[in-house]
Amino acid sequence: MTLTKNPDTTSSSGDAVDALLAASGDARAFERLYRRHAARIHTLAGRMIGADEADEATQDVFVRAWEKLKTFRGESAFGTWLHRLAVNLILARRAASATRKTRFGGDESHLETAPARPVTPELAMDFETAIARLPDGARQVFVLFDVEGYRHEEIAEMLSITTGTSKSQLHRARMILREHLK
Amino acid sequence: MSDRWTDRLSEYLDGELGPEERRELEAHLEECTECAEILDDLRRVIESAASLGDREPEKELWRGIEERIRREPPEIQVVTLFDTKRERRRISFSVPQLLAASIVLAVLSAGSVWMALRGAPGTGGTGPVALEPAVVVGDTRPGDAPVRQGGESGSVDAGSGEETPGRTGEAGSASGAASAGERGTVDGRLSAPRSARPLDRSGDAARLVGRDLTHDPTYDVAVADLERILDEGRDRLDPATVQTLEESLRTIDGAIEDARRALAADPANTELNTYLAGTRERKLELLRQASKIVTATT
Repeated sequence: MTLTKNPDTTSSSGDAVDALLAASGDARAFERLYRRHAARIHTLAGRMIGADEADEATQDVFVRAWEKLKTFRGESAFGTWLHRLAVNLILARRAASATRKTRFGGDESHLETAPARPVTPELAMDFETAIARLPDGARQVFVLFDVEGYRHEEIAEMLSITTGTSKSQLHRARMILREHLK
Repeated sequence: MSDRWTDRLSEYLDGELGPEERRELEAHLEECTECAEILDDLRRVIESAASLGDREPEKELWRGIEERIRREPPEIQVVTLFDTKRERRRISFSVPQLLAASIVLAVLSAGSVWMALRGAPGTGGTGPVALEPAVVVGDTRPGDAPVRQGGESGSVDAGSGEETPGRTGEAGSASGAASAGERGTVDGRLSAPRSARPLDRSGDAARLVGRDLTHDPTYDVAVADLERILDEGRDRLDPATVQTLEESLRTIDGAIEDARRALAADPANTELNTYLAGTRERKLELLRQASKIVTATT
């Protein structure tokens, strides 16, 4: 497993040219874009909806990006455009998944208010695992705000919640996670 | 234990408290060691989140993506740069259409080469054949003369509409469609060519027949300008990007040359005329984007 810290080191000029070529049907250029951005999108998906669905979600994101490339005109960085597309798709996927669970008796709305599972030192979870174990709503907001850098107003819009809820979920997530850093 | 300030500590750290509340909380922190401790912990959480790295997928996912995108290629878009009616239309080719066009081109190109080698009637030899420009048939309008402006006005940006990916539940939906007829800027240096009109596959394609698409001074000036900008800024681009760009330009130039030769053999062919116009515009668009990148890195 390779860790890459700074996704912004990708060549933005290379992205722009490859996006243009890919939009004209060049699959090799699109593969280069995939190689440069797969880690970031896959990690985002894993944090937002869990490792189990991350692979499929990542593939969905890139297929949708391919379909939508003609609408990308380089007015923002390709990475920014792709990331926003990914967040929207992942959240839509999460919403669909929640609907399915509700329909089949697995209402997860209680996770919004339920306390996080107690964590014992024996579990020795790393920070990523601790994030994965956060209640759903708190995890979404924490990832979007503290990891991805979105503002509360943007998060509220994406998640169809109020900014007040976004702030309280963020604080809740941080308070849970602080226990893992002790 | 928590007090009324505990739940406000994240807002404090995020700079979302008003000045009055901020002062009150800071005064409280002087006295409350528990809140001060929590505050330190929350800072560490935030720092940890900011330092998280990305992980490459453990599985190879590209193959699955490739299979899906091969089944569903994007609509290929050729943005029309020439615009006098303040409206915008696009020429789009599906991949099957392009494949068909490329086959036609290959056949015609081979045919023209064969004819050249064989010797066209009246040329009396096998030497190079001068390709005579086709006759321009009417359709000249006021302002059709090549225009080169100083850059302070009307500049080119065919791509004024960038779609913003949709919101939750409607991911990827269009919300920012191209605004018709607007002229943006490339880099503030080039003006929009006024000489040609928007093209489409039906009537306009037919009107292309007989026009000399290979000798358009406005186009040539635009291309030359963009190539100069690109050349001057080449050092600022990533070498791999330059290589990709050059390969793409060579491919497009090859296609243009093939189409030009094929048209010399069959000047009335509307498909070829349309294809040539689209390919030339694609080159211009590629140069335009590359120039934007260069100027952005200045």
